[in-house]
Amino acid sequence: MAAPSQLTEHLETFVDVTRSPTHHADSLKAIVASLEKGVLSINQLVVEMDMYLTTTDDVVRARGILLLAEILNHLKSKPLDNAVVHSLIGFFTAKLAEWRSVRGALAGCLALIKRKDVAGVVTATDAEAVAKSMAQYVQVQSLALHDRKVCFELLECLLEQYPEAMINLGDLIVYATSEAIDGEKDPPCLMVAFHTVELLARLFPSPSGPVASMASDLFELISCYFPLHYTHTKGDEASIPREDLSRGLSLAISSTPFFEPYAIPLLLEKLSSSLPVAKVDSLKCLKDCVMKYGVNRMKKHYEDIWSAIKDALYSSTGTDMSFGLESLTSTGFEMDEIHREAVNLLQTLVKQDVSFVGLIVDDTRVNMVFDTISRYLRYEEMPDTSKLEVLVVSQILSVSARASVESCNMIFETFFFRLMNTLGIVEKTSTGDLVHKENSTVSTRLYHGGLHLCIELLTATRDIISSSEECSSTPGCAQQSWCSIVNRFSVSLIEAFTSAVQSSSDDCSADAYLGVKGLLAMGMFWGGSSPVSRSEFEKILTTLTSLITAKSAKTVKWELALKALVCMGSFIDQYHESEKALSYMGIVVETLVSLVCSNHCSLPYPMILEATSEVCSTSPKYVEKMVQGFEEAFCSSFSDFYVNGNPKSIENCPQLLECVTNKLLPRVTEIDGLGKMLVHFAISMWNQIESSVVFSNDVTGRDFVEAAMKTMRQIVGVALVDSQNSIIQKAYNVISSSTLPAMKSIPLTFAALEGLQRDLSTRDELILSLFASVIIGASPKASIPDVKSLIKLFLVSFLKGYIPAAQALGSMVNKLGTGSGGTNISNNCSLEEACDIIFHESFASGNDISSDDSSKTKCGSETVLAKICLGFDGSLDLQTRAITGLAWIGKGLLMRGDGRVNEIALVLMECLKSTNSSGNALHPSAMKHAADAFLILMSDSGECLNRKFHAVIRPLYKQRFFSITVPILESLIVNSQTPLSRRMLHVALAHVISNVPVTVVLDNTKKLLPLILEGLSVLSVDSVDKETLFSLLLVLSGTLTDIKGQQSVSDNAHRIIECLVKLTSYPHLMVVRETGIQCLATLLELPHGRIYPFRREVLQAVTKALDDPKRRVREEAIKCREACCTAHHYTFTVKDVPYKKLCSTKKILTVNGQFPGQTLKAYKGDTIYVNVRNRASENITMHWHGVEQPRNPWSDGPEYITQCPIRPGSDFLYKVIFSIEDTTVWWHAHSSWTRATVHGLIFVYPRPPKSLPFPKADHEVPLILGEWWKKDVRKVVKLFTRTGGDPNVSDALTINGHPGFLYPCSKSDTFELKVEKTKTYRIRMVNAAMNLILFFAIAKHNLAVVAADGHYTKPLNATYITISPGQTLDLLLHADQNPKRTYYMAARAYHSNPVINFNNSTTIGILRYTSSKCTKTSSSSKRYPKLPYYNDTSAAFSFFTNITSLYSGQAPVKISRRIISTVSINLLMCPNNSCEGPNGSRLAASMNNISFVTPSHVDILKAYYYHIKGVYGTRFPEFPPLVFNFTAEDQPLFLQTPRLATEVKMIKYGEALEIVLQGTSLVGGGIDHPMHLHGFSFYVVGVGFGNYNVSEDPSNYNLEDPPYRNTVTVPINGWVAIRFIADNPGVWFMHCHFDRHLSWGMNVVFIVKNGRGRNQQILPPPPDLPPCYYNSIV
Amino acid sequence: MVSGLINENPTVYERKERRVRTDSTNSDEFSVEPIDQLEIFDILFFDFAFINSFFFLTEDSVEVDDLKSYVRVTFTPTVEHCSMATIIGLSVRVKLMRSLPPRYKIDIRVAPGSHATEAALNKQLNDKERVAAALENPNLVEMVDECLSPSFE
Repeated sequence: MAAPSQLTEHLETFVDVTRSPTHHADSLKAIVASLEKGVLSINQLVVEMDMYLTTTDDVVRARGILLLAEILNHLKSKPLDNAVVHSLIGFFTAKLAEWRSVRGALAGCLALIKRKDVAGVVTATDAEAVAKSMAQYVQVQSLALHDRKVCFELLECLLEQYPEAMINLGDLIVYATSEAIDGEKDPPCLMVAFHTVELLARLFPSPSGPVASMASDLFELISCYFPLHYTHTKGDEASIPREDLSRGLSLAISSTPFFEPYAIPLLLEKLSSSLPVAKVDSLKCLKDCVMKYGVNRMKKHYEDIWSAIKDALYSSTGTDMSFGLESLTSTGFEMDEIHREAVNLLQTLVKQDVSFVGLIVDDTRVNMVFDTISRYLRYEEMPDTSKLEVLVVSQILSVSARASVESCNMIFETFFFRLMNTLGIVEKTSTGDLVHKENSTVSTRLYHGGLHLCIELLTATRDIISSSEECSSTPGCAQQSWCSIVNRFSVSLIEAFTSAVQSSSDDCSADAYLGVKGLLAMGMFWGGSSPVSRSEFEKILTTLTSLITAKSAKTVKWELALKALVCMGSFIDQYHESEKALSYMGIVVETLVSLVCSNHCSLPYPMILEATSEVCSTSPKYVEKMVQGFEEAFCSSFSDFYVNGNPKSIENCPQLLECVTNKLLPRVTEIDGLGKMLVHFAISMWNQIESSVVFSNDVTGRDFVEAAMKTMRQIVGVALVDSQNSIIQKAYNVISSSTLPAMKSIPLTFAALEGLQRDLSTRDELILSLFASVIIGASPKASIPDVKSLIKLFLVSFLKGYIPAAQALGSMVNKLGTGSGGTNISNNCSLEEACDIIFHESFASGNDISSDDSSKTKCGSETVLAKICLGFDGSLDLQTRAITGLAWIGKGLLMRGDGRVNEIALVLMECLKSTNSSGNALHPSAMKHAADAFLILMSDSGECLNRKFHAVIRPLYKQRFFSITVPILESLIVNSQTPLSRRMLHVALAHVISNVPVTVVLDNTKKLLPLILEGLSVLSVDSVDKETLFSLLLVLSGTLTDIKGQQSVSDNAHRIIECLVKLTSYPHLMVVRETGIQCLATLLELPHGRIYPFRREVLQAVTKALDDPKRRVREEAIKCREACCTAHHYTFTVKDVPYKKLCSTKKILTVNGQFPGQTLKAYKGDTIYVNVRNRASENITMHWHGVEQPRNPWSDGPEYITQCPIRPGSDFLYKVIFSIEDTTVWWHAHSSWTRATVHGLIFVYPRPPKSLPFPKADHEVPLILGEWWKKDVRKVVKLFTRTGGDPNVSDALTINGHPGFLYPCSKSDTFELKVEKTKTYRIRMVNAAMNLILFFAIAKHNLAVVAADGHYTKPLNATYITISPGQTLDLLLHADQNPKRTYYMAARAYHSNPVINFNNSTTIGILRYTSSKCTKTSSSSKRYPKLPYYNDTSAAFSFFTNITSLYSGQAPVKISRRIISTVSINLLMCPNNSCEGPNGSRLAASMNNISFVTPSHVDILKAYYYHIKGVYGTRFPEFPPLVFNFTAEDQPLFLQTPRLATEVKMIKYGEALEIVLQGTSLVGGGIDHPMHLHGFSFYVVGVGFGNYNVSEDPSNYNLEDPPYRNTVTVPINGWVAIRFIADNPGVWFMHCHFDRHLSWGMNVVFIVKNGRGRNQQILPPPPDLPPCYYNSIV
Repeated sequence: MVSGLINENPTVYERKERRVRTDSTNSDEFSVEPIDQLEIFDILFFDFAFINSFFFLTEDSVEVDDLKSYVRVTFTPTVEHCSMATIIGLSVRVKLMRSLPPRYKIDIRVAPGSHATEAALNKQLNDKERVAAALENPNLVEMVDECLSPSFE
């Protein structure tokens, strides 16, 4: 860019405060970009900016300096010349002295100081100068929030980056900082302020430094914030979380030891506060202080702190303890925040200084506990106070013991002996013998409190070990005194705990819990010098194990013991304690494993298995042991079963196998070698089967076979290829030695197959099933011997009815030949051959043997299996089996993407036809199997052919199958002959659709939705299909909720609703009814117009469902009913969408991508909600033109009048309240000129039973007249606001977005209305053009006006109509002309001022009669309408004045106030006459000579509601400030200049107002003005030309039936008078609906104050009102 | 005119824990689950979560007989001359009307002795015509809807 003019332009933009922040940001961005590219240098820029930086205009100078600062801020990483930086910083430093430009100066300094690591850094001297200047001139606390923050950041930066320079300043900087902080209240500033204090403290550590000398003052400044009290709401995004700020404060307080004399007393005082937050903060801060201030300074406060901690702990500890499983490894009670912080503080104190422990040791309260614990034996007996004492003391002791080794020693030395004494536990003598005290046994003195204390201390020592081991490699705990103490008592302690566990009964969980926890604590010491010896450790294990084995039911104790054992197991594994591992193995693992094998135990088998698997999973070694044990157990019980025929012995096997599959198999990857062990397990399973040749019992449990198959499949699945091979080999050996191979030779003739029954022995069946499982699990690389005969075996088996065989065959087909490497060559069989066997060859060979001639001829054809499927031959049983088998084979092929699956699919579909090709009817059962075959094909199977079992899966295979089969099925359905076949085809289709990923369905909703609906209604007939029906319904519900499906859903809404309504009473499946109702509720969110006609049906269905037998259905029905009755919701997504018109494409702003936007529909008095989601790149607001919105100005919409705009990316929910509106109103955007393309109609209907006051039309026709610019409308606006001239006139007019064939490239882009002869059409029309009043007419047809601006009028027959921007009309059109002709409708401008340019083109639409048989219409038969000439004012106004309200006597006769206002075009002077308006001036517009300035930061409504001052004035005059001949031909020039201001008119509630609007001839002779008032409809009581005469004109008013409108046209050089009652409180905009006049300021705002009554007050603001940005400097 | 609140320091009842339905594992497709006390209470509970703190409404105050299509809800206003009792009663009635099958006869009453104009109130709440008339009044409907709008908003 760099062209100076452009640069100047950008500079001008930025400096001009009236521009919007986005403009500012844009120009800033442009300048920065050119600087970064190097097109422009800093020097050049400064020279260019010279004028702005030095001008005497304060505002401009401030903006100029700010601009420079902002630019520098963006260039932080760009290298700059040192000299430049020097001069710049000098400049900014100097400007700090000037309060007007201080914002820019501060920002500039900050931007420069922040530079680092690039060329051009500020020198230390300069930094010093900045700091000095700041200290001298800047009064931080008098600045605005944003500037204060910059100040603090500047200070922070200076301190951080120029410490030396700051040290030089000494006192000065400290003073400056403290002065700045004094009185600060804003969190973001405080955050930085606290950090500066911290930095200062770091900078001046010396006791004679400035910080030390001013410590008291400085502390006073920051301490007044403590503890932080926040009044900010949580959602406030700009503020800083309380936690962060409080952390900052804490750091500041603890920053220097000089604060100590003031800080500690303060904190201790706050600690005694009753506010929990204060307590937490004080504790946290104390902890920081303890660390920072040092031991010496803190020592004198120890006693106070200690008592404070005690208080905190006692008050915050609850007495409830949990004895659950999870607390076994944690503290066992809940800690609140105070407690946690107190504990932290205590630990820090002890860590810092061991002497603190002395306080604890001497504390009377602590000591007292040891005397009291012996009073209560059991937990239940203890009173709450005693529980509390024990808990707190145990906490104190364990925390201080944890802190360091020394403290631990001290604690143990002082307390442990006493504790042991109280418990009656005695030392172990050096010889290891126990000396019992006389007359005392251990068990008598199991005091709960004592045990608890003991355990807490022991766990504390464990933590000590791990922390000390981490820092020093030598385990030194043996030398520590605590260790020897524990060692001395270990034996007796263990005994005590053991007896605690054993003595407790099952229901007393507290004691058992403590016992187990104690044992666990004792068992978890580690390292060579552990205080617990190995034998003692083993004792612990034995105790726990016996606990597990002894029980016969699952109790808390059992679970606790198991958990403790698991903890210990993993602990041993973690620390590699080899000796202990041995003991663990010997005592725990082996005992449990032997239990698994022995089978003679009181413990239920599942519990044994659970305990074993839990315990053993802690280490791989144990796992090995376990697998061996399991193997043994399996083998013994299996052989027992087969040899001895003992059916009981096999009962445990399924459980055992289940344990293997569920517990072990998932962990194969974690545990080394587990895979191998499992393979061994599998092989020994085969060995067992092999050896058990003799069968004494034929009854094998079904669940045993299934469990065995599952285990076998999964083991093979996870095994490596080599192991797989060995299993396969083993299995093959078994199978080949069995009687099964005989089947291979069964001739595949029909005669032979006919005789097949499920005739295998149990053993053979087991072998076959297991072998199939092996094949299913095998990877493609594994080698399978003798594939061909196996295929035959499987083929025969599945025809016999063994499904696993079919699955195995499917797996084989799927994997065959895909594995890489040489192994699979040994298979000797390719996929081709395999398929050959399956489909042809084997049959052919069978035929040779066959003696049946007839079958021979039949089998000569190609796919023989297929023939069986089709039922050419063989029994029905055989046919169904063949179909199912074929499905599995097909699935295998389908998944690998093999084309042959299509043939299978065809065969299956053939089965679904009512008759096969030879004309035989198919049996229903065969058809059903064929339909279900599609489920097999499409669904994911858990049993085979999935990733776990190494299936070959081609991506998107389902989608491919879907796209092949759906069209065929569709055409079959259309051609189906019998209902049965139709149903079966639908079942098949439902299987395909419901199993394909939803996205595929969503992409094809248009095609699929009718099919799905048909399917649903077909399937709902028979209860057999209920599951299929349900899955299909789920697909439907998926499409309803997805945005992709919405269009077709909305198109098919009536069919969907019909279908769903039926399903709400589906008797066979509850979930179907439930889902059906849910779907209905979803549908209710569709656009109102689509659903409204069906509301009654839905309501009836749902009301019926309220009486459903099932509760869940009733609940859904209630929800749906509520959704049905409540207000209607719409979503408007505003986004840019490209549209092509007039030969070129441009991006326009649209709602939901539609231009013109969608039509909303509502009944009179409805409330609708419209969620506007701004997904465009500019601000937007939405206005509901003509909707009065009683008491709800919040949703009215004009930008910065009733709301700040919705920013890009945010949403706002408009609540649109309809009240008195009867017919057609409309909606449009109301920010800048966005409404050019963002608009649409709103149809209001009379609420039944009320009806229309005119004959009901046969059809309704929305008709929107609009204007189109080829250029981006945004650019048009930008250009004319910059130049000050007239905006570019539009390039075309449009009807419903179509320009019509008179425009270039628009032949096909013409609106066409098809009508039928004799019918009546209600045209609902709006003029949405930006700047044109329009004439509209239809050739040869009269139009009957029945409503205007949403209110009924007396019917008025017209040959043409005049419609101003913003106005709506309802017209009745009778199609009563010669139907053989085509008629045109046309619209063009009414424009009365010859000086002003306008768009004089015409838009054409076509009216065509559909009944016309005439194929060709000659041009002579086309009819153009006659429109009045452009400047025919009398034609325009004779139409306006002919409109009258339908009702009489409604207009206010008496008025309480009359406001007269001129509406006028004006001129503003431009410097050097540089603008493009007349004579180089800028065009403007005004009312009563005030050109309205729209606020740019806060909207007027918010300012009014929240009493924000300085946004608007309230002095809009009631009378023109200067009375002159308003309509004279020549006007003196001085009248042309308006006053720029934001003035509103305050109106009392309920006033009867008359407003007279007087047009003027200023600037070019005047023009008509369509004036629109928000929030009200008004009566147009008088219109006239010339000057309004107060004494004469009112007598000519029409007060009988004046038109009731919301937009009125002030005639050129004339006036109108309107009347209304101000009974709608709020902020209401009135403006010219020519958008150029609106932009120029022909606006005023009325604020109608609240009335007294409850219904006379503004509603509260909605919660999601778009935020305004007060300090928006981007 | 007396200004100020009628009930400045209301007794806030501690909200009882809701009884959770335990027999939810009922898997029989064709068994009938009749509308019971808890279900009625659940219908009312969600909408009256706030009000419930002030107007004692417990499960026990709901009587229901699914076979006879009869439900009676008894509620207890906190003060004897509570002016909100009518609107609360009306809201309870409207909510039940909207949520129960049309066959139900709904009986709403205030607990005996809990309100000054108990008899009049009961009559008012159960007079079909008066309820219908009340629901024609848009202001009243708005208030009822406000009462019934979910309390989480």
